[in-house]
Amino acid sequence: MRTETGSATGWGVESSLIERIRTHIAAHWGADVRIVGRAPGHSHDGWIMTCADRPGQRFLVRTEPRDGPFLTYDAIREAELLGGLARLGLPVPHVLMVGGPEICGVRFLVLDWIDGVVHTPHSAACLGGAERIAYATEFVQTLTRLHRLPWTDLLDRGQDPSVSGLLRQFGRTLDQLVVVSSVVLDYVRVWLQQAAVAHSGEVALVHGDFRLGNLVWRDARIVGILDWETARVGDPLFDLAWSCMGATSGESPVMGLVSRDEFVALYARAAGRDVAVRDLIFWQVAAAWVRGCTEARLLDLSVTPDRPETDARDLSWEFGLYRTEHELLSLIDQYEQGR
Amino acid sequence: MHAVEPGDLLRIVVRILETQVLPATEEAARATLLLSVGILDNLSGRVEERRDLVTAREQRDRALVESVPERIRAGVDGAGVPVNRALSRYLRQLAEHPTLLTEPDVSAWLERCRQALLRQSAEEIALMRPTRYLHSQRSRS
Repeated sequence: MRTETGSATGWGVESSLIERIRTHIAAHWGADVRIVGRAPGHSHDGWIMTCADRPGQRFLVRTEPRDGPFLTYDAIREAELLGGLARLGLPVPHVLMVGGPEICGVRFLVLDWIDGVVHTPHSAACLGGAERIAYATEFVQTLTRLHRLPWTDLLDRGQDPSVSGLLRQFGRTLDQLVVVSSVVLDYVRVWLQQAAVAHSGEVALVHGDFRLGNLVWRDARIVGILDWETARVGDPLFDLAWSCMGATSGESPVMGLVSRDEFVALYARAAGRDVAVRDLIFWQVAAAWVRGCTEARLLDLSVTPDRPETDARDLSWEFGLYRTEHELLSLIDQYEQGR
Repeated sequence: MHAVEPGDLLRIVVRILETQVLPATEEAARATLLLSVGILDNLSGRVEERRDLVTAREQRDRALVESVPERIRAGVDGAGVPVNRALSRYLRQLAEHPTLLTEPDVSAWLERCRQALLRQSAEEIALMRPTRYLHSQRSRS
């Protein structure tokens, strides 16, 4: 079962908000709706609910956060995307309801809960050797399946799929930091601009956060792909590089499953294309930079004075950001040495 | 009066939290407390070194700001702000004017930035090795 935390009481400052949503859903469905837990995850606030009319089923209510890792959220866009993906046969949560801010002040989604296991790199590393390869194979096959979808049917055609578009989007995050600053992230933005000329590749639907924590498994089969709020149009190698987070050499483990070299070879076979190491490193820099921007934002929010509450998880980015900066500079060093 | 080193004091606080507070903490607050203890634990071994790192970082930023090419400096008001903010402003100026990236003096300055940042990052990360708390937290993500 997927992890749950929290209890049926004690929702703290959000209690009135989630209670209003619960009441709204109950009235809409004409049945008793109960809150049974707090949903895991960091980019959204989420609650798990049950409904008396639908025994055995659970639902996830996700609200747009006031101050999340991303500058903007669009629950309606995500709901439309999820609907399109479901029609194309991709294993995604079904959207049961979309709520507007008139109900509780923020937009929210009600999604069906997909039962299964969400692995971590630690739990994946504990699998047997053959199992780990089976998981990695399923991972890359699902990813390439996603990348082959007709994105023009799913997302706004007006999006800028280029590296510049990505830099503009997350550069705004850097520009809006109040307390925290990172010369490394500012430097890497310029480096990416310089190096991007050599890496204008394919255009596809990109998930944007494709990793173990956003996949629901039953044995070695993916039955749910979660968290589509960062989906966009771009180069599919971004998703591959994002999956290789922290893997700065060919021997480094990817998500506890296989080495980076093995992982990229599996992807290349599934995608029917070669992946040059230089391209991979470029996109690893891009992915780590995006991650660094969100880490810096979370840290910034947590240390900005006069905020009502501080999340200890966000404070830990004080260390995470150093790690990301080092990863970025190490990858760039490899890239430059290969010139 | 004998002054306790800040790092030693933090280690004592961590021990008290671990042995006295954590065992008595209910599940709901335990994860948050574990992370808070992890942050203190991570700091305890490098409080003094951290001060040196901040000084080294300022020196690095100052050297890079002093060597910024005139064509970048001309478009930015870097006066009256901390040196790291001034350096960020110059880099952001470049991000907004990518045509400057092909100028030889700009390329040379960026290469100097890269080398300096890499050197300092290696020194910093040696002191930022995750503790058992952060390591276990990361394995869950």
